[in-house]
Amino acid sequence: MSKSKFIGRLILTDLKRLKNYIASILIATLIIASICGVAGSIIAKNIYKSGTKEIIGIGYYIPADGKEDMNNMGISMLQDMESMKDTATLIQVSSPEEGYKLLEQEEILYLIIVPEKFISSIMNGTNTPLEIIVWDNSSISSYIANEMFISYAKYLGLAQSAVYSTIDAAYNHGLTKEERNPIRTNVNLTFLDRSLNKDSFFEIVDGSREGQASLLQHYLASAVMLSLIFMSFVLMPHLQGYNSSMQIKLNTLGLNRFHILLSGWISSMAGLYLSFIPCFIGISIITKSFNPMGLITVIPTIVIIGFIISAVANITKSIFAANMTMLIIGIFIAYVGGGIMPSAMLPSIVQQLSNITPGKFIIQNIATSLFGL
Amino acid sequence: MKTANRFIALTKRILCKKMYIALLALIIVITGVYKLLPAKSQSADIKVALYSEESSDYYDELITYLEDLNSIYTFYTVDTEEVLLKDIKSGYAECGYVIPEGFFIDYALGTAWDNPITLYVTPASTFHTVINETIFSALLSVCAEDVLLHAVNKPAWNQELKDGLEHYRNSQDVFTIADTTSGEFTFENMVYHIDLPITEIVSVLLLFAGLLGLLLFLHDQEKKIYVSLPKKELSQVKALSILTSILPVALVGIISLGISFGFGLHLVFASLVALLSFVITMVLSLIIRKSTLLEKVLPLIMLTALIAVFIKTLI
Repeated sequence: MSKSKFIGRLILTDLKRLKNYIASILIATLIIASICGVAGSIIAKNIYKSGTKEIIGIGYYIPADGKEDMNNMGISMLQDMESMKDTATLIQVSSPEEGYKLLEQEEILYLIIVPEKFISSIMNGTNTPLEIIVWDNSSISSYIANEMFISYAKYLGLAQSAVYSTIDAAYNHGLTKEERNPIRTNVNLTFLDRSLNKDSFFEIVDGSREGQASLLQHYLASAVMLSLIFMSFVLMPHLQGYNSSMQIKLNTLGLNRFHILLSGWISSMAGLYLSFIPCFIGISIITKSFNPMGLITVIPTIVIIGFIISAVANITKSIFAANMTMLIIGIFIAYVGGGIMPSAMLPSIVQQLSNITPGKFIIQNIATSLFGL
Repeated sequence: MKTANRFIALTKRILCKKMYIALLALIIVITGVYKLLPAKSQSADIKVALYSEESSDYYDELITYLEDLNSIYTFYTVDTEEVLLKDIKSGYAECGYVIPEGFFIDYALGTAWDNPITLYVTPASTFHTVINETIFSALLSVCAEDVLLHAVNKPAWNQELKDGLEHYRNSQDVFTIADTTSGEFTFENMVYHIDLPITEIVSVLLLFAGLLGLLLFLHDQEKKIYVSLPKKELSQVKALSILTSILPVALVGIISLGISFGFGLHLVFASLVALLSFVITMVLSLIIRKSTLLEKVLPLIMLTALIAVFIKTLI
């Protein structure tokens, strides 16, 4: 019988022996994938701890000057701004005295006393001063609020400058009031648009994403990678099943360690693929997304992990040593590949290492296969 | 006397195991790293990264404006979007703005919704909504002239409008707010020591040592070494095997914790964990009676323990 036929028979025998491990593989997948999956989702939720920000209280007093509608419109515009919603609570007070009392009680940090006919004074250029009383001007909150107010004032000041400049130019060119008004209104509205509609001029993107995958998808992919690597705990007895006398017999047939490695590699891949299927089905059900192509695109990952497991099985002398080696290798690959902490948080030397170790590629490949990214 | 002899023999045997030596060395190395690493200092200021795909006068003006501003935020520019993202992900920057090609003109014309700025944030970003106000007031300031010329749309008036805008924006006649804060806000530098979870690592290694002791006992038992021993003595050998495996790790762990955190409560803690590891291993020994099973389960137990430690340090 030719050598290639012996190799073929060795591979077939190994695959047949693998049948005895199917139940163990499925049970181990369930246990390991559950442990790693739960850990992955906890890490995804906690790796970027939400910062705590103090919501400051801002009191305001609007006088009864017959222009309350206009003043209230100004306040509601202020309230509608995202920055204000996110940073402050606006509290209306019935009198400046009540405001001072709230300041003393530290219920509010700022008290804005709106003067009579304030909005109309801005429009006609009188600019009646607005009184802002601050309780504590040394805390970070007061600095942030102060900067916010200065920014609001900048919008207003620029809009005013533009309107005045337009009116001056219109006068110089001899335009009548009827001709001037639409131009002035247009300038007003344009500046209002650029200041108040800023939300449409930028889009918020989650910077914590790892490539195309969200943080949760990334960590689920990492959990699947670890499950596949730690499937070695089940596969090792199968791979190290050849005792020394059996190896000598294989040697007499012309089969050396490389052939055993090759055969082990193929049966490892079969075992790993079997283990991947329940992970794939489970995650597809949880995420309600099904990407059948993933069952094909995952093959490079299966090939790489299969080779690592088979190589470790061949190098080590006992199952225990092989399992402990795989535990260390698995954690190392996951850590360097950004599967435990995001790559950007790792020391720069580790980040450089990630380009030459397979972890990063494997996680990306699994994420692509599971979520069709 | 017999017990003492067994204790000494088992201790000698465990100390000859390479994996065990590696275990002890790991604790010593971690302690050394912890003690020798210099304390790091990092400014606690709120950093905002900026990157523009276009290099224009507008961008230069924006940067100059932000640099001149007495802002509580520290704005800085980066050369690539990749660096910006890395800074966001690592937590160095609070958030980051990527200004696309042609944005400034689009903003002036009011069509920037089609070519928006990308604001990168993470779940840890807290201040981006208020930082937006500073950024957009700076943008409007830089683009005010173009916004005005576009709104009026009378090319013959352009010079007058520009001069007028320049005059008014620098005058006292327009609305402004005086800075109410007292000078520049000073952020204190955070000085910190890299926080290695030594206590947790020692705890995991104590459990591992106990299981390793049990594994060695099971190996011996399967080789029929203790076949002549009565059941009671067999239990004693098992307990001694586990104990001799735990004790050296506990001793090194206690010294390590003492060096790292001082000889106080940590020592009591390490002793309790050593005792707990002994109890857990003894209980497991009632369930796991074959070395082949323990060889399979031990890495899984270690994995679970490591994950638990990592999550504990994270939360």
